[in-house]
Order: sequence, then C-alpha cells, then structure tokens
Amino acid sequence: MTELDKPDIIESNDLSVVDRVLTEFINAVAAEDGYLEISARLKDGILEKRDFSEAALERALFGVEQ
Amino acid sequence: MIKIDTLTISEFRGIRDLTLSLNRKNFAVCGPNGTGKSGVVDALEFVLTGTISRLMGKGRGDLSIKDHAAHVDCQKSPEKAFVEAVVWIPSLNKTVKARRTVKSPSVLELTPDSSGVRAVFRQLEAHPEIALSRREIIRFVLTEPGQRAKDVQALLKLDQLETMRSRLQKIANAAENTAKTAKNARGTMRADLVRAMDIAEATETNILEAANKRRAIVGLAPLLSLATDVSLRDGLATVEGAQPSRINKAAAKSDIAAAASSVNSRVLGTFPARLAEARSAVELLQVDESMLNAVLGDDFLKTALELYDGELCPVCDTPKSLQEITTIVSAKRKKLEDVRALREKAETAISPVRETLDEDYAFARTVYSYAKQLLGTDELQAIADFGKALKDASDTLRGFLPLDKTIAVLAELPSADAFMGVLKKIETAVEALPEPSDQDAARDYLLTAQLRLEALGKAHATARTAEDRATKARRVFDIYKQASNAALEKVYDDVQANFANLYRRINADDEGAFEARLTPSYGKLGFGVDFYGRGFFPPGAYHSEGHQDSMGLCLYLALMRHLLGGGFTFAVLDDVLMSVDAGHRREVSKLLRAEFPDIQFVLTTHDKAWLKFMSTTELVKKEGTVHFRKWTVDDGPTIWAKGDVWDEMRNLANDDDVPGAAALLRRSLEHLSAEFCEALRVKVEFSVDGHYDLGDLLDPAIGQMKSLYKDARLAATSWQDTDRVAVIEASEKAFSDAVNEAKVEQWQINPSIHHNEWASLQKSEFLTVIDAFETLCTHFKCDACGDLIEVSPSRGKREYLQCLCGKVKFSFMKKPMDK
Repeated sequence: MTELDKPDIIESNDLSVVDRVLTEFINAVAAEDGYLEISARLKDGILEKRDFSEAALERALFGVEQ
Repeated sequence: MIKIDTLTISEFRGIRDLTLSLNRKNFAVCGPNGTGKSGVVDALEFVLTGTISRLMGKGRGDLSIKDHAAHVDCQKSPEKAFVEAVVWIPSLNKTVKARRTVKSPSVLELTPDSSGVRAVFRQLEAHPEIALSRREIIRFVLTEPGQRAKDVQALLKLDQLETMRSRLQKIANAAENTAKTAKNARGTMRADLVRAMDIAEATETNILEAANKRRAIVGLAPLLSLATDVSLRDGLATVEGAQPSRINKAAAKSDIAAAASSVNSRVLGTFPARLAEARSAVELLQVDESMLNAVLGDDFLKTALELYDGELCPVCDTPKSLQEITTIVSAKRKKLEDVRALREKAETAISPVRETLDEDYAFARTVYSYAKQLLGTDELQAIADFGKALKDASDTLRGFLPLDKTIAVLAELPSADAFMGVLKKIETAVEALPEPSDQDAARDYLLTAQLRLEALGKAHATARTAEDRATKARRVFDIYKQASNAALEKVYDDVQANFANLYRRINADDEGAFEARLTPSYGKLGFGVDFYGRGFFPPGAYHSEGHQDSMGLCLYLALMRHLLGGGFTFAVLDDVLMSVDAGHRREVSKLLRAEFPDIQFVLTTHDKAWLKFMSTTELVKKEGTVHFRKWTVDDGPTIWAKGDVWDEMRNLANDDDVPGAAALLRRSLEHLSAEFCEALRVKVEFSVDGHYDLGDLLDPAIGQMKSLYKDARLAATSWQDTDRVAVIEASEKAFSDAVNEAKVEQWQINPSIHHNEWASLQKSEFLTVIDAFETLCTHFKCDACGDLIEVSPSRGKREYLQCLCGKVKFSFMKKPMDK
C-alpha cells in the first residue's frame, strides 16, 4: 500500500455524536480491502455534503456511473 | 456553535423593550417569580431556533408562537414583536446580527448573510435543547427506561443514525433483489442455451465440443476456445447467415417441451404448497380493517420518506428538515413494526411464485417467436395475452399493495389453458416441418447457439455486476451496524463516566465514590445510580429531590458535551437547580466554571443566594448579571440598576404619585437591605418562609455597620494607628449622620401593619425622605469603586471590613495584650 492508497482516517475529536459514529463507520469501510473508493465517496457525501438521501448513498456505494 | 454578544427584545412575551449585554460571557438573570426572566429565555430560544418550547409541544393546547409570542398589547402587530441577537460564531470567527419577528418565526434575517452562517443557524434550529428548564432536564433522570431512551436518542439525534441504517438496509435489500433477478435471468439464458445446443451443462468444453461437431458438418475449422472475440458461427459470415433462415427444428422442439413442462409444474410438485403458503401469509394482513389500514399507512410513510427532497414535506409541502421528517415518520412506523414483520414474511413467501411467473413469461416470449412463423393471428394473440397476464400478475405481486389484488393473483394465477392449446399446435406444426439436411441443421444450430451464447454472456455480465453491488451493499451495511453499535456503546460509556464524574464533583462531601450505569437495550435506556455503596437504583428511588436536580443537570451536560462535541458553546439553564441546597449550588457554580470554561451559560434564578454563589465563584462577573425587581403588563420587567431607581421614585413623587413612590422606596430598601445584610454578615431573625420585611433587614444592617466600625476603630486604636482611627471615626460619623437624617426609627414599619406610612406624606416631605435614604444607602458602599462594603471573609472569623478597590480596608485584628 502506497502513501496515497492509505485510507484518509478522520479524527473524531470535537465531533457531534452522529458525526463521530459516521466517522467510525467510514473509517471501518476504508479499512476493508477494496472499499477505499466507497469510503471516500461516503465521506464526501454524508460527512461533507451532509446528503443522507437514498440516492446519495447509492452513489456512494456504487459510484456515479450507475 | 455560537456565543451571544447582545440581546434585544421588543414587544415579545412579557417584555416591552429590553437590551442585555452578554458580551460572550456567562450571564445571570435574577428576579422573583413573575418578573420576566422566562421572557429572556424564550427570546434566546426564539431568535436562535425559531421556536419557543414553552408554547409548543405536548400539553400546550391551542398555544402558538404566532398568536401568543407577541406582548399581549402587540398581538395585532406581530411584525413589531421581534428579538435580535448579535452573535459571535467561533468556528467562522464572525459576528452577525440575527433577527426574527413573531409574524414570521421561521424567517431568519442575518446581517451579514452567508451560507456558512445559515448552516450554523440550521444546526441551532436542530438543537432547541440548548435552552432547557428544570422540568425538561429532570425528565432525563426521572422517567421510565423506554421514554428515557427516546428522549436521549432525540437529544443525541440518534434518529439520523437510524435513518442511515434503514436506508443502507433498503439499498442492500434492493441490490440483493436485483442480483437475484439477474441471477434468475442468467439461469433462464443458460437453460435456453443448454436446450438449443442439446448439452448437459453450459461448460466451455461441452459448448466447444457440440459446436465443433456442427462446424465440421458445414466444413468449418474447429474452434479452440470460447474467447470473447470468438463466435460459434465464425465462417458463416454472410448477411443472411446472421439469423436462422427457418425454424431450428431441434431447438424449437426443445423450447416447446420446456415451456410446457414449466407451465405444467404449476400444478405439480411443491409449487401448489408454496402458492398456498404465500396466499395465507398475505391474507394474515387482511384479517381486519385496522390491520389493512396499518399496512397502507406503513406503505404511505415509507413512500413519504422516499419522496422527501431534503427541504419540503412531500405530503403537506411545509419546510421540514431531514431530522424532523424522519422523526415523525420513524415514530409512526415504529408503531407499525408488527405489521411490517408480517409484510416482510408475506413478501418472502410471494417471491418464488413471482419467479415462476417470470420464467413462464420468458417461455411465452420464446414460443411467440416460433408461433409468428407457424401460426395465425388468433394463436399469436393467445400467446400475447398469456404473456401480458403473466407480466401483470408478476407486477402485482411485486407491488404487493393493494392487498386484495395480490390475493386475487395468488388465488387464481393466469390461466394457461389457451396457451397450452397453442403450444400443442406449435408442437404439431414443428413436427410437420421437413427434416433439414445435416448441413442446414448444423448451420441453424450454430446460429441459434451463438445468439443464445451472446444473450447468456450479457446476462452473466449483468448478474456479476448486480452480485458485486449486492455484496458491497450488504458488506457496507454490516460494517455500519457493527461500527455504529460499537460507537454508540462507547458514547454511552463515555456519557456515563462523564456524568458520574460531574456529579461526584458537586457531591464530593458525601458521594465521592458515586457511580452510574447507563444500560442501553433494545428500545430502552436503563439508568442506575449508586446509593452510598448500597447498590444501583433508579435515580428517583432514594436520592433527594435536590440530588435528582443535580443529576439532571450533570446528565444534560454530559449528553450535550457528547452531542455537540466542540460545538457545545452555549446553553441556557432556566432555574434548573431549584431544589439543590446552598452548599451544593456553590459546587455547581465551581463545576460549571472549571469544567465548561468555553461555554457561555445563561442562567436564570429567583434565588439571590444562588446568584451570589455564581458571583463569588466567578461563574458570572458583576457586569454579567441583571436583576429584575418587578414586572408590569404595561412596562414589562424593570431592572435594578445603579441610580435609576431613585430617579424613578422622584419622578413618581413629582407626578404626585407619592403612594407609588413610597411603595417603590419600600421595595428598593428591602432589596438593598438584603444585599447589605449579606455583605456585612448580619444576623437576621430567622423567617421560616424565607420572607423578610424592611424592618427585619435594615435595622440589623445599620446596627451591624455601626458595630463593625466600632470594632475596626478599637482594633486600629490597639495598634495606635491614629490615622486609621481618624478615617474610621469620620466614616462612623458620616454613617450616623445619614442614619439620623433618614429618621429610620421614625419610619420603622411594623411588618404586621399593611399600610405604608410614607404613602400619606406630602410630595415635598417625601422627596426629602428619598434623598435621605439614598444618602444612607451610599454609606454602605465605597465612594471610590461603588462596590458594597463587606466583611471578609464571608465565613469564619471576621478579618476585614473592606471594599473591592481596597480604599476601604479596616482590620478587626487587635494588637495582642502584653503579658
């Protein structure tokens, strides 16, 4: 694994409970073999864009090309 | 999130016009009941969140912000009723002015406006719990576990996590269904290929062996592999060679036999039992109307959540946040959990029936292609009708609702009689076809096989993609369950430890070993607290009301810390420590200051002693307090402030309202005398109801001041400090003169006499009284800093009579006598 491949682990200090749980979740997905891209898309969608819709979650899981 | 600089309230609740300078610091609002403190709390909640919990929610009847938030005299002009707050946002390092009017509570005016600032206010709107009363805080402690779980989950916004869980589960389920359908389609395509090639299994070896046998007949070289660029019909590459020129007799016979077998299987084997099972499972949901309505209701709620666009409720088009709408929908769907379980069971039972119908539909399509070449329009129509009926039935089962349609399909699947009749005719027609030559048969074989091989390839690719998605969606859902459960357990552990630590700090004197247990279980949150090492009990079991109050506060603070993390910067505590005794209030003040130094607290209390503790522990500074002395419907609250009360008395007297001025003088002196007594450590005759009249307080305060000056003078004399003796004597004389001038004894009022004798004076006489008492009151303060002269320390052996700036500092310590 190169430096670039390493999962972007999110620090969970000073986050709300919900964000802390979501951060733990995204970090756990990132640790799964072959799930780095999903983890990055989940981080962008739910933590940064705050989009919890079903469509956004599907995009995160399956990529935008679906 | 935010801190408040200033708060301006106009024509709002009981307040006409009030501006408070909070300066991003802790702030205390003190005053007797009914003087307008709650109006300040409501105003803060209103401007920050757009709501007033006192006017909303359960048990509030027909109260509303629009009708009842404006001052009673301003009800018809709600646009004039507004609250404005100058707010500092630490995360953006920005100061903005926020304003809301009662006319449009949901419209937040921001100056300057920006998306970042709006995001902060959206977060505030989602957290009305930044302002809580004692009643709201104590509910976390004194409630049954099921309700506590709901309250805590609502506070911690855990419903968002539940929404995530249900959406990820829905996606995983849908992906698995898609994968299953794709897998079935692949199975159908494989079966089609196997039949057309007359092979046992669709393996590369079998396919190559069978194809090469036919290729040899038509004089083509054998194929060595089934690579993606290889076609079984390679070498037959003419335009007309792309399709079989006539019916592939062997494949047709095989397809027709398979179609007949599939349709016949509906009355054979295990299928009838499965069908009956599916029907019973669905009928369970239709046993009575309420169950049926519950199914419809659950479906409606599910659809409502799916249609939510992030802004408006899809049902009523009112703006709703995701959290609001999921809270409403989840709460309603929770009640329908049993129905949902029955529905899931029924849908599982229906699934194999639907798959069978889909298979028959695929056969109908295959057979149709033969019928087109062999039979007339009536037969074609019969096949088309059968296919449509199968498709409709499958769609009805997939849709599940309305239940009566689903039950009707399960009660009577589309009749295959006409189709079977047509199938017989096709079979006869195919049989009647001339046997092709070996070469023609081989050519048709290769063309049909290649078409079905390509279809299988596509179906295989679709199935693999669908399987991959299903695997990922399920895995992500599983990870979410594990991670969220573990994270939530940790949250509860942390809250529990933090709560116990906060509580121990307040009650270190007698509960230094206190422990607590938050025990989450499905739908419940147990809360056990240690009772002096005798075991864990519910908080209401043995602890006093005062201890429960401090538990409520500690649990609230621990929860908020975990809820908002670094975003916990502001909280309004509305008279939350009503039952906590004096000693523990001091500890609460120390705790808030030490443990939450970065949080701006706005505290209200009717208890001056509690205010004093806040001040002596430096939880609030002197300039961070406001003291309401009275409230009238015309004027709203009136604040005790330096100087202005004396002017107000003079104004009343000058307006010939001597009774009004006299009443104000009496109330003012009662208030000030209480402060003098506290500052000078005056011994006052105990009153069981805590109420003291002017006569109970002012005389002892005067007597104490005289006595303290005397003690200080004797101490200075013992040290032969003549300068200090002179200063003290001057102060003593000035004080005595002021007492004499005020004729305190003459106006001494018997508490049992209701009548206020000042009220019967002439205006000029009473103005003299006002001047005299104002002068007297100034002699309880330092003429340099204006602060009250007080005895230090506030407990134990008296050491000094002093003021804040040090100009007044007289020691009580006498020089020891020589032996």
